[in-house]
Amino acid sequence: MKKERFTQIALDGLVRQNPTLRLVLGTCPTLAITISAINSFGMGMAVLFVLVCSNVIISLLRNIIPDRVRIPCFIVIIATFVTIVSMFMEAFLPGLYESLGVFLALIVVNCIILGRAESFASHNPVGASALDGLFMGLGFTVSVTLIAIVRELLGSASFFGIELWDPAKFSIKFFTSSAGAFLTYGLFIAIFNVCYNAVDRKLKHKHSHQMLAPVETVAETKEAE
Amino acid sequence: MANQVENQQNEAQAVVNNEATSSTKAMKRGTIIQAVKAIAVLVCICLVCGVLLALCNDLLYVSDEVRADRALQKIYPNFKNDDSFAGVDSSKASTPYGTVLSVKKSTDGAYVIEAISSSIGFSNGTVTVYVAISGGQDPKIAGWAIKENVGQSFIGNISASHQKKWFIGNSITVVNPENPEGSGLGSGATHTENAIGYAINAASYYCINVLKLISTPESEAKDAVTALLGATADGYSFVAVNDAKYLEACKVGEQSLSFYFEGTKTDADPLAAYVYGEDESRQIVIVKDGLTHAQRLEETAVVAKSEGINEELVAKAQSRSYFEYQIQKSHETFEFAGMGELNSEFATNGDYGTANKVYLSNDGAIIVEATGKGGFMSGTVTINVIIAENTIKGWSIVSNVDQSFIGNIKDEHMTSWYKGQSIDAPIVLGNNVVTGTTMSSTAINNAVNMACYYARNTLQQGGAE
Repeated sequence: MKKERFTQIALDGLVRQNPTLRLVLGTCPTLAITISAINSFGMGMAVLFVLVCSNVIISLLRNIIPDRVRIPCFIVIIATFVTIVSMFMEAFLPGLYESLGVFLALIVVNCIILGRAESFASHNPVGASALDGLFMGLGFTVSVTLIAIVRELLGSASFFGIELWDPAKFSIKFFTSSAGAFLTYGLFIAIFNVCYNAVDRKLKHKHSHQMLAPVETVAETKEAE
Repeated sequence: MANQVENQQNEAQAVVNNEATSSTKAMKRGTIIQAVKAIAVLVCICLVCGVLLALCNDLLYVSDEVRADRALQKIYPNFKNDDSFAGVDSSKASTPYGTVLSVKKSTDGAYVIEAISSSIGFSNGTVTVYVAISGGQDPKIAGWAIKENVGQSFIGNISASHQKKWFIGNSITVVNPENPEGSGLGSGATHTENAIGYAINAASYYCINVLKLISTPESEAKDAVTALLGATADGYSFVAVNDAKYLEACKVGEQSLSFYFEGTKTDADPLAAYVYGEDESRQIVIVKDGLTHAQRLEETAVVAKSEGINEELVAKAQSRSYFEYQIQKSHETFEFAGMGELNSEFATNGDYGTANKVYLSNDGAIIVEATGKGGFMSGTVTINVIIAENTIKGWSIVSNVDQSFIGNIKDEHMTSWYKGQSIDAPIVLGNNVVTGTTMSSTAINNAVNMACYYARNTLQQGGAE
């Protein structure tokens, strides 16, 4: 795979098509589990595993699966990996398993996973699909973990479960509520998109400047002649 | 000519029709093949996924034991099951507060006990709890959690924070005698709180009396009684009667009665165990209970006694049963002469309740055990009413259903209310009521009326029997 393609997939997953902050997909678990950074990180890892595995299998079977039954096939494959993650967590991470509760099972119907299966893995080779799953998963994990860190710090005065100061002295319980989740999520989307657009404009401007430069040189050369 | 053209047109039309039919058939065949292929692929994917999940299930299966241990770790985080521990002793699982269902021991010496309360909760329901009790020299309640309940509509009032606060850190010796009901904890679900308190006390009771986590004078005395009875003690449940006045009443010279236990067993005679003194100087007399005064005085009434026991103590134990003592508070000359035959014709009155038993006294008095309805939460109160010479001599409480505040009614009320009133006329509640226990007082009044109704009618027929 070319370096440009790798960079494109990585940037798409992490920034340009970040599932949480740009595409606003997987909103339900994002709002529900970002009350704790540990839960968010665990959820992110679970989504990452399911994304990578389902993308790889769907990409491998893309020429075999008939178009008419692609969605049921995708769902079966995704559900299988979600069940495996669920079994693994119950066996080795029982605390996290109980904390995530129903949201772990609901990964099956997560728009991010079904969306990537439909739009990317079913049209691209295995390597690219695996990378897409990896970076989309990382994009989701980083986003939800950052949102959770802010909510946990302000709402519970702790960082990844470690109490930093006495919450009785300073904590804003609002951030642990559903309304707090919406507000934090909205602020993150706004800040991310402002930064993204600023960088994007800068890059476009730079690019157009580079494109103009050779034209002027040619004109100047003609004039000189 | 025209016919020829028509024939040619018809033939051409037939050819077109044939081609269209064969094309449609081919399309249908293709569609069916595609559908079959789609279904086959989907089925194959399902099968492969099923096999993969079966393998993963085999590798990652979490057994019921592990799940149970994890559930217990929520109550007691350091819990690691000690497989060598035998579990609950079912013959001793029943306690005065409820029943112990299971006992697990942690490798660090702590116990997690599953106990169900007696039917003391709302609508006579129960609550089952897990109680963690730490090990060591001073065992304490380390945690508890509700497992399930029967009929407790307001169990939702008991929050997770209550389960982290109530009873936690209490020594099991404190919880057991001083807070048997756990009432007044403030969740608004008083009956459910009572049931929780009972279940926790059942666990504490089991720890003290069966697991022997701590040794109290009471448990030591009970052990001594059990040891004296030997094999006879099997199946008997001994409960201490903490009635300081009775203990004092059974004093012999300077030798005071330390403990009095009532022993019960299904389909067996009740026993009464009198324990005088402590440790080396402990002397015990165990007599058959539920006998008449005369039978009790006979030598055969003594079931067991310590070696070299002071005969005065034996005589005292034989001479005055706890039942007689309670009745004698109101009617000093009472001596239990035997059971009267209950006349079923007058044993029920729709307005008052039921008459359950009749006891006869050597001095001619009768004691009617009657249950009065109309108490708090439609509950009942059962009392003994002493009747002699057509008047009420006194009464005493036997048991109650759902009467949370019955404790407000004291001995002085039992010896003063209704005393001297004739049984010939209906008894009115009047001033015979304690503020805050109006409903229980009403039930008592109904029970008194029931006893009077029974006595009045049976006496008119020629005798209380």
